[in-house]
Amino acid sequence: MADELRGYAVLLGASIRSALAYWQNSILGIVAALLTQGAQLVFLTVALSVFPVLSGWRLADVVLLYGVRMAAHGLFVVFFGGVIGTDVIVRSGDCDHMRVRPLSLPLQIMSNSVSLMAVGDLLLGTGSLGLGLWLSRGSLGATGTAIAILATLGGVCVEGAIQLFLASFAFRDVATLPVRILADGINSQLGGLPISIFPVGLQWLFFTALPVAYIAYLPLSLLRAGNGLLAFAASGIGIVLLTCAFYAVDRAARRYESAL
Amino acid sequence: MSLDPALRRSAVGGAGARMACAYPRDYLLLCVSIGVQALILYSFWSAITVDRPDSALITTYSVTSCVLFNATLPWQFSSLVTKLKTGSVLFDLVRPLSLVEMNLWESAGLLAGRAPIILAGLLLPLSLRGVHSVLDIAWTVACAGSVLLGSLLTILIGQIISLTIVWLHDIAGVTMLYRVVSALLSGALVPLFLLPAWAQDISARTPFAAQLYQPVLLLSGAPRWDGLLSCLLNQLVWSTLAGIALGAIYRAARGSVEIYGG
Repeated sequence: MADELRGYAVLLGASIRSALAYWQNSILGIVAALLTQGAQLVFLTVALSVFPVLSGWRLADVVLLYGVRMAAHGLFVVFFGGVIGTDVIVRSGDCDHMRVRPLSLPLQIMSNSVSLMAVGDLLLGTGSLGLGLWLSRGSLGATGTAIAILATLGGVCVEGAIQLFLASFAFRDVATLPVRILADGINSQLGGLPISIFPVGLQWLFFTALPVAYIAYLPLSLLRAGNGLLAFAASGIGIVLLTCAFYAVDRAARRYESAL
Repeated sequence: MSLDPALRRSAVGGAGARMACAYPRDYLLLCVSIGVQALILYSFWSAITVDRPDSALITTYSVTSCVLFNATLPWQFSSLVTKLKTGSVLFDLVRPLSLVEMNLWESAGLLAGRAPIILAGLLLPLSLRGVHSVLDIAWTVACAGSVLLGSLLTILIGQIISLTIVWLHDIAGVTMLYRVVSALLSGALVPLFLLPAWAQDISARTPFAAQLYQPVLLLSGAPRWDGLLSCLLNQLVWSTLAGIALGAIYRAARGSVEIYGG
């Protein structure tokens, strides 16, 4: 396990250095991420300053929800950034090299490339998480703060699991990128919103087929309800989902046939 | 043998329409994506404006603007950027239609290909508000013209922005800035009437409000024919100005194009 993580860190480091080689591009990417992802924060701030309560959630709660989701997304882009290129990796035959390396395939796919747009996402995420924690300081306490940070880490795993699972279909000769972009778009739009505002059927969907509810909403809503222990447990769901996604990629990769 | 200009335009437009429908799975995903966004906005605004008298207007506006904004080429820029970088623009420059004209007709074709989504967006207010009389249907048809005019304005501005590639080499920064400013000031992100008065003033003095906010607000509310006339007039003025600016910029850009290799 330690060797796997060390190998992953080495590959990730190489990808980061490669991205840094084009620093002007990186700066543009960071600005683009700040502007695009920040638009939702502007939307929420404007709406909640005119109408102060959203299904029982106030501005401070929603900013915290957004912050946890966004920080998780920023970390996801750093640690799982390579997943975006899975279709190309499979079709171009790059998978040939990966399969003979002494490192698990999902870890190699994850570290295959890094977009420095993640810095913009991370800046916005940590900034809004900090703001959300500060605005909710009266009601959260030390335990609440710790759970919000744990939920962020759990959120990285949930988002990674969703994207890795969908990417695993690339080995079945399906173009997965459009579906993954759709899933990412839904996640971005839902991230800062309490799932309880949606119709029951849709809520069910967000807890099962597209489990975005586990990224920030479930731990934080349990925390708000005073169930600290359950909130703590909910933050760990990501690990379970990620393990399943790793298994799905490994299993799907057995169908891989070299293109070279 | 040479084709007459009308035939050339319809050929380019037809290619644009076919391009929009060429990949059924992508088209389906676009529809699903727009539908999900609309559903999210509907749930959000219904929940946050519950028990308020303007709840129906805000909800109808947000859902309609989301569908029309995504369907009417919101931030789409022409393929000119890639063509200039690869040098393939050379072939376009020797064709009997100007680059701008081709891009405009291609965009018109894309809009035609997305007609079912646009129609769904136009019918949304009727289904959300309910049809009370024939006037409601006549009003929707009248507003459709305004929505298309707003779309034309968006296309013209998009062309102007893509032409700056001739001088800037990389227009990523300009497009990013335009996206954020237009999303805010066109009412695509938040209904403009919820923004502070100063932001509404700025929007009213720019072409952005005429792109989406004014037509969709009219479409979402009760029929106001005087409002529609002033909206159409505003859109015509901005479209004419944008057309003149595009023509001038295109003439200047054409003289600055440098093609290396081929």
